[in-house]
Amino acid sequence: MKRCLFLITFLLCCFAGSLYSQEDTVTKVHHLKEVGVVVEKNSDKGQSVPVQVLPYEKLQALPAVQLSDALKFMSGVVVKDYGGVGGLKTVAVRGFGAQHTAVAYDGIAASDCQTGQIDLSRFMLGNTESVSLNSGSDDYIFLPARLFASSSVLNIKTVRPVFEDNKPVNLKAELAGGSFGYISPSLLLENRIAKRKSDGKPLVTSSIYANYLYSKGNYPFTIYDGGAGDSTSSERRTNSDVRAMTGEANIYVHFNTFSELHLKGYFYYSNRGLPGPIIYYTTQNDNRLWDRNGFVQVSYYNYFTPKFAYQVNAKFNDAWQRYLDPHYLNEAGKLDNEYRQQEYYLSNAFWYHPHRLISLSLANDLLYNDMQSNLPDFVEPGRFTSLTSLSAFFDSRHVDVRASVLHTFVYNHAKRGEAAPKVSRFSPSASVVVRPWLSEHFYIRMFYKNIFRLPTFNDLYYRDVGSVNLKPENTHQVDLGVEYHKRFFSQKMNLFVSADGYYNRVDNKIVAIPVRNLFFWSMYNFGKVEIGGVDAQLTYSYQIIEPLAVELSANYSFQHAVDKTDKNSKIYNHQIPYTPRHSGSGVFTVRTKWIDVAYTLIVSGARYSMPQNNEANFMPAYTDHSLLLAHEFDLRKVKLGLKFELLNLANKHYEVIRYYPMQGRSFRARLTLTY
Amino acid sequence: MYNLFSVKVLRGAFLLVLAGLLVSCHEPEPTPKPTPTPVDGGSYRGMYILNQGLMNSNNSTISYFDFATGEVTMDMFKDVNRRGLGDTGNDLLLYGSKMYAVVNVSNLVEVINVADCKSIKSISTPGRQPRHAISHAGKIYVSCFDGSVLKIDTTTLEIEATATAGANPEGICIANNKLYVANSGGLNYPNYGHSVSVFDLGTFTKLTDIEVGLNPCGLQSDYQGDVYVNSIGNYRDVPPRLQRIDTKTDSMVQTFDVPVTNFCIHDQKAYLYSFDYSTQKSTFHVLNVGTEQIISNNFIVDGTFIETPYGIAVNPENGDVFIGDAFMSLYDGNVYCFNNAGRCQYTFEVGRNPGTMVFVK
Repeated sequence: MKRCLFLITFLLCCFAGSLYSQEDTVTKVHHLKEVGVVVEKNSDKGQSVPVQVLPYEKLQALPAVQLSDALKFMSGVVVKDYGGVGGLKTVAVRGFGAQHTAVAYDGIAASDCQTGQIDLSRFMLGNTESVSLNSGSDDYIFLPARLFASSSVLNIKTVRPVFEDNKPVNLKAELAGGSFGYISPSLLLENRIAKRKSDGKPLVTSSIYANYLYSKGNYPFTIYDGGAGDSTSSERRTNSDVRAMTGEANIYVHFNTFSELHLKGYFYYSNRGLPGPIIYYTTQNDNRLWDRNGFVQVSYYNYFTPKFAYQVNAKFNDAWQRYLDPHYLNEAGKLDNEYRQQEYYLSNAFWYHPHRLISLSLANDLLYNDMQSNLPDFVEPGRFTSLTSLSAFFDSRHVDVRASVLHTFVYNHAKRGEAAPKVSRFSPSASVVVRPWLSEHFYIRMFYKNIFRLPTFNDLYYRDVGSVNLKPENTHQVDLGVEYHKRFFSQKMNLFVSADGYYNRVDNKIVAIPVRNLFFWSMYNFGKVEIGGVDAQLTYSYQIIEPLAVELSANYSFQHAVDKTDKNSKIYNHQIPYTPRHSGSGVFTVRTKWIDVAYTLIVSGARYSMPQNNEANFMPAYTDHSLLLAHEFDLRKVKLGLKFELLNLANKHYEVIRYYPMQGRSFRARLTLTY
Repeated sequence: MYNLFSVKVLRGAFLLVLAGLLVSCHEPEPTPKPTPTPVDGGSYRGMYILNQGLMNSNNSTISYFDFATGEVTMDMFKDVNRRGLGDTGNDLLLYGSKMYAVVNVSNLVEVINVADCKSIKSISTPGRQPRHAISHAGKIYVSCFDGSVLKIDTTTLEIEATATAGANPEGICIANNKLYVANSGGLNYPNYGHSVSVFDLGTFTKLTDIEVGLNPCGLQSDYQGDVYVNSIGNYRDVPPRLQRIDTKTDSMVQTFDVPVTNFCIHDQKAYLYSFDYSTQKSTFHVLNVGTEQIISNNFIVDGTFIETPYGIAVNPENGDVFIGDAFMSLYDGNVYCFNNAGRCQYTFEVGRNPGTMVFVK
């Protein structure tokens, strides 16, 4: 019935939409879009879930080339970095595995049904407008259902073309280079193709972005053959080279202030050495990995009336990967595996705003994933997923309340062999934010979310050892936090502080266990993990006089993430691997007329590399300091930007993942031409 | 009204934060270890346990268990040599005054002085991936995953000769003056191997291949000169089985219809165990190798639960049976000592994935 009503309203609006005088709605629409798209920390609204945002200016002040570099400056986040430019980089938010964080690229989730985790090293920040991380579900409810279907969502927004002074073309060309054979040119070209007749604003715009990256990655490191104080040897990383290309094209059609069509085509290719872990007393490492990924996606939204809006998102994704071990000891004398996966995605979402205080959203996403491989007897699995979310948002001056329920239906099939069983589940979430005094931007927030992650195709079907009977990994999150922002001295000084305490739980954790010998691993629903944590953030900025400004931001995270699987085991109450109890980061920026200087710091407490917290698995704390210098020359029509980065100043040799050494002291330089 | 409300919530928020910080001070308590007590090891002073560790983690260790004190030295090799043993120690062979640790991923055979666990030499085998070793008449024979069998002189500690077996050799044993090597083909998924290669010890050349079950792994000889091989199967429809090879005719003559993942022969008895990863169930059988009859379907009689049996050895003097428990490879293992009646005598903690055990004087 409700759906029927929506449909009727939708049809009516199709005819009536353009006739509306929508003055009032503009602020509302913009407000809503802002909340959903780029949440400014000093925007008027407090969020009912923790949202961390790195806008363009902030990203520029970080020693960040890849998305993963930037995430190291967010709280509650552990970036699992396998070292070097080409090393795998995944993210664990608030003690959950990488598969629990969805990565949305311009509003549409990226996916990898084979491993369930996205390698964040492939997202280059050259055309990134902002990066934000939500824990729990977004306050902005008018979203595809898929963005409700994970514990946290990482949003990457690419730069949208903006044309100043009637200029029809924007151009940005960049050349970056640095230590260990790093070189990366890129180009961003934006065109205004057509103007709207009514108001002269852009009707059709386009952008093209291309990036090439090469890094030899032969950086030095030290091996400790046992532990600190034991015998050591100095080595260089080998087979750590990477070549990657990213290309992207966008077309935007701005029909009017209330509706837009966005088409995107994306292509990525990489060819990299897999240096593997450092193995004692042997150096052979010549495995390679090739990735090719292309997708096209389309998004369209229309606020037909102040009360009703509709959006549709669709995507086709094709990903290919080749893994080569040229010295594998089988009959062929090598392992040369190719994997290919496709995704077909369609999302419809409706937004209804029946009353000043209430808005509702209903979204349905349909996905089909399948995968092929040249592995012998590969099962060729496929998965059909339907996600339906219904959300309500109550928006008053003192209290905002959001409640959502997501229904997931999954049907699995396999060309050969047994397929995993069906899944049908409801997942609730709710959040509330209270603003006790309207005179102050002080907010108290609370949220609960229950969601799960499905076993990946690897978990279910890999060779003989995948297990189709795996249950989804279930998570619960409870968060209680406060947030305060204030502007002083006629807005010249800004202060933002927030602190959240949370309790998370993971049941049926999917764990890999070797089968008889260490060459075969199988997956089990084995673990239970409880996480108690605190995230705290502080940002302070002060515009002292016009060209001189300082900004300080700091993050602190505490995570007590412990195994709760079996009271009698040797790891009960032990901190889970690669999760420091204490970690933090800081950025201090000074902007002057002549130069911008940024000092950044990453601190990680001690961790363990394995579930058992003993001396053998202990990994010491580390710090990583970097210094950035930047200046922009204004050459009339053209701007010339120079940026110099000194990375890991203290030349501290540390590891994030054990036996995958990180780069020591190094530099990067960047030249940017903007027209 | 708002004031009061917010103060309450604020207090709640800070309590939660505080609770979090308090929890941080509470470090996990180490599990209380039983006080070491002397145990009977016959004339042996103790045993070395090779813990495989996890692949690609450089965490193979050699633990030492002292019978006279009942104490364990968790990582004796590292304590003595100030360096780790390496990655994936797959076999440990005792011969004379030396031990030979076969370290698979690190590609070496570590020669160790038994008396003090000091490294004598690291014999590098680049790219070969050594798996198992056996001794005979002053030589060590090492099976390697690349299909080769190495002959190492125990005086010069040099590789003297190399022979070729089948795909991914695992177990290796000597019987009737011949060398037997199990060709597992374990890396040829799904086309696992099904043969045992026989070599002449004098010429170190291959004599023949014996057809056995799928994925043969362990290989041991008994007092009668028979060779037993356990074929792991394919983890799917072909179950792991134990088979007997007649070394006079060099043919497979008998299949025992019980699951066997690993086994150990002592005198008249072979102790067989199996572990099924999909059901997580274990079995412990005893075979009389003289009569070739299964004499017990459940060796452990006192209800001792072993989660993941990973290694088995028998004290050659008093017949005590030692079983290593890997606890699903999630953390450090235990070793359980059973008397030959199947009753647990004592247990002690060792490193991760305890696989091979040797008894030393």
